[in-house]
Amino acid sequence: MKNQTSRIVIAGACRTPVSSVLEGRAGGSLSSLTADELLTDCMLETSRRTGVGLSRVDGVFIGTCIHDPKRLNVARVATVLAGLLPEIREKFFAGEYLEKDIVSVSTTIEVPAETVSFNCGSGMIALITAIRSILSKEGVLYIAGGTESMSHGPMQFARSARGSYSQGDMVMKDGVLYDATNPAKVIQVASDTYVVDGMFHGLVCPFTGKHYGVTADWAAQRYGITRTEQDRAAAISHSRARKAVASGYFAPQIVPVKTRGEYSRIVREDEGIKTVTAGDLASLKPYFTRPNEPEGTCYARGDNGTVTVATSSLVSDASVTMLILTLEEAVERGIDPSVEILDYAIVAGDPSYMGVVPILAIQKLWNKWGFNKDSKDVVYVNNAAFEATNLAVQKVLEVPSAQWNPWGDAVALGHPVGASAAIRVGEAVHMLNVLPEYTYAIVSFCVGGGQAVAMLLKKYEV
Amino acid sequence: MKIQKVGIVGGGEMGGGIAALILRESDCSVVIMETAERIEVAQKRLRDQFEKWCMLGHITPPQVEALMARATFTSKRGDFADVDFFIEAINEDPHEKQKVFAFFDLILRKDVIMATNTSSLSVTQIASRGTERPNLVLGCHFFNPPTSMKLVELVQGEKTSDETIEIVKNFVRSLGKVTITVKDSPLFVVNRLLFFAVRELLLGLEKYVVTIEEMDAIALEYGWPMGLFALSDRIGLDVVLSVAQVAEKTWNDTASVGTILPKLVEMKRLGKKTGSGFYSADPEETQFGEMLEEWYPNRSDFVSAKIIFNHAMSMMYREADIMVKEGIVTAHDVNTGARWGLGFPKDVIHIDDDL
Repeated sequence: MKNQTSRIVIAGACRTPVSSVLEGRAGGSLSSLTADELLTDCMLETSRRTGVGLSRVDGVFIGTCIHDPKRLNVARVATVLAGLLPEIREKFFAGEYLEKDIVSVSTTIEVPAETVSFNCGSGMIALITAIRSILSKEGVLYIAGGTESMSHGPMQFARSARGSYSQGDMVMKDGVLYDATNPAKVIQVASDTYVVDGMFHGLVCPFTGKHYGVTADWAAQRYGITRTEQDRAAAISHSRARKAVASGYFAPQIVPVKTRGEYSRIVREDEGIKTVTAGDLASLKPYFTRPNEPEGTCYARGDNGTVTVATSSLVSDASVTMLILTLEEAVERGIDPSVEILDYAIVAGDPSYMGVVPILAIQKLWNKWGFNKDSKDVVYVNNAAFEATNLAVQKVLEVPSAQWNPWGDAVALGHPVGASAAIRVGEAVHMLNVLPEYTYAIVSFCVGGGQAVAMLLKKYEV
Repeated sequence: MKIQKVGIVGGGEMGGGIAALILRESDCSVVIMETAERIEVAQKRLRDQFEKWCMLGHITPPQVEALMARATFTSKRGDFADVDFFIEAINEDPHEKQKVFAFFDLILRKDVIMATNTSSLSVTQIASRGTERPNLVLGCHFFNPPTSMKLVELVQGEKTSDETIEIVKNFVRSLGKVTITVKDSPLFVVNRLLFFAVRELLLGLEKYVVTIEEMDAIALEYGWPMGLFALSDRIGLDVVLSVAQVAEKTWNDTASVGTILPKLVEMKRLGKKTGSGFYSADPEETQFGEMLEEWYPNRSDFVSAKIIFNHAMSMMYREADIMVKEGIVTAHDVNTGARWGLGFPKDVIHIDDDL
């Protein structure tokens, strides 16, 4: 991206609170809301904050990892919905389909929208797609971000389990499946049918069939990251996140969200941030590598596991959007161009150590722009799903702790997989706004399947 | 007599928790006494508990309202005239407790059992000095939080009748609790066992170069569900200190707790309730280990953490033995107390049924 003709800036970054998907119930506080609803709220807020009408943008790029089958291309769904009246949106999000004449009056139907899929890096690739569109002169003004409702991850069984060829949704009543449109028609399904958890497999390596937490255990062994170090890092993460909340660093970007259902309330705060001490964490057992694990599961068998649930990021729901635009466009529209995108790096490496591939991405940016571990004016936001790999990346790069995730990391702040990358970029934008000691920010992500993305941001100066 | 209405004095952490427990686990209605200034806070505390259960999916929103409807808050003693069972759960002030018992003894029906949730005072004294019904007064010691800790210590004062114990035992068990019966004695069973173990660890920290992390790791290996220092943080160092003060008053030097605990409490490092105690919720501030080195610079490395821990366990077993020999509690109950009150995975007294 060096020597490009247009300078690219970010504006209007805002996000929903990050909820944590609770066990034993349908989900956390945002589980009554689908990914498209969360996204629409954010898009409208970004539009409000920047004064840019959504019908004026050249396109929308949204990252998401786990697709809701009834809302394929969630970016497009949210974009069109954003252009309709609130009452109509309300009906749609409450579960009713719309009349075609109503859809056609949406003010945003002429805005192209693309949902981008790159596992946990989806949000950042969405931003990068916007950047590429600007660089290839397709447009000057884009909405980009991410959305994820892990609470709505689908459960599915293979089409081949259905006795005869048929299409359409089914309804299960008393253990029998019926055609959803013809309640009397029983659908024959193979009596032993394996049901795949769509959300869960977003967290499992497709090559080895092991949960990414197992890859974190492998990385911990290879890079010598101990259990105690991980516990301590998790406690620090929560502590830094709490302090950031207390200092009001997240509030400016958070869009309060009203939940649905009988017990509706307004959610304003991230749910995952806790008060923990190393003492609490020490009594947890390693979750991904277990001493008596049977063969063939997605967990590993062994005595040397170190990663626990407390040192892993939270399964969460959230959404984020921001405006990606050229400097000229920002100036013309009176938008304060506070942060500039200088460059990005997309790399790929060994999937079995996916958590440490960001090392390559960060080094690539370092080499290109002349940074190293001693560059004091760079703040790093490394969204690692596990403290083990977070520490491994920091250890290899030798970046001091003070510059590394100063406001906590995914363990405390949550990891709504497709949206996280963009959330962290939004966070880094705010860091550059409020922390005077940093001029640059490098936001990096490990991506399931063995890839990584990193983005270099700079405080805008004329 | 079937218990249909329970009167609880004190709507704080314990009183409010006991109320929530009774409302959830039984059909009883509950009347809670609080001072006029504190009634609103107590109501909110109870409602927040139900709303938390609702959020976790244990109860539905209509159930939240139904449970709240069975709770009444009052500052008027007269509203207790028709209760069937009485629980006192105010702060550990002997004079206040005595007054409460004296006043309510006059108001409650003559057959109503009066229980105190005290953890440090003599049930016998409260019964005899405060009321005309010492046979109907007992200790009913819940653990924090009463909604989830399974153990309840039933404390039998000198004059408490066996029938009283039986009735309360059945009621408390119907709420899903595990009970043990203890003769009125300082610290009853659970706090006494825990105290003598933790005491050894604290004294060891002062004398030898050992760390709390080491000793908690050894506790986990030993089978404890969490390290004893982490447990102390969770209980609250102010509570641990008040237990220690009762112990020191009763048993003098053989129960002295050393200087670390008072120092931490003075610094307001009370554990989970303030964020930091032995362990810190902010690993980037001054850690306890550093403070220890500053306060006790001449510790020796003569004894390892493992030895100190094993010694602490021995002292705990010894205390269990003493309690059984003095007839304070049966061997079976002291094991139950350790298991359900402390999560201790082994028996503290081995019972030889063949002998």
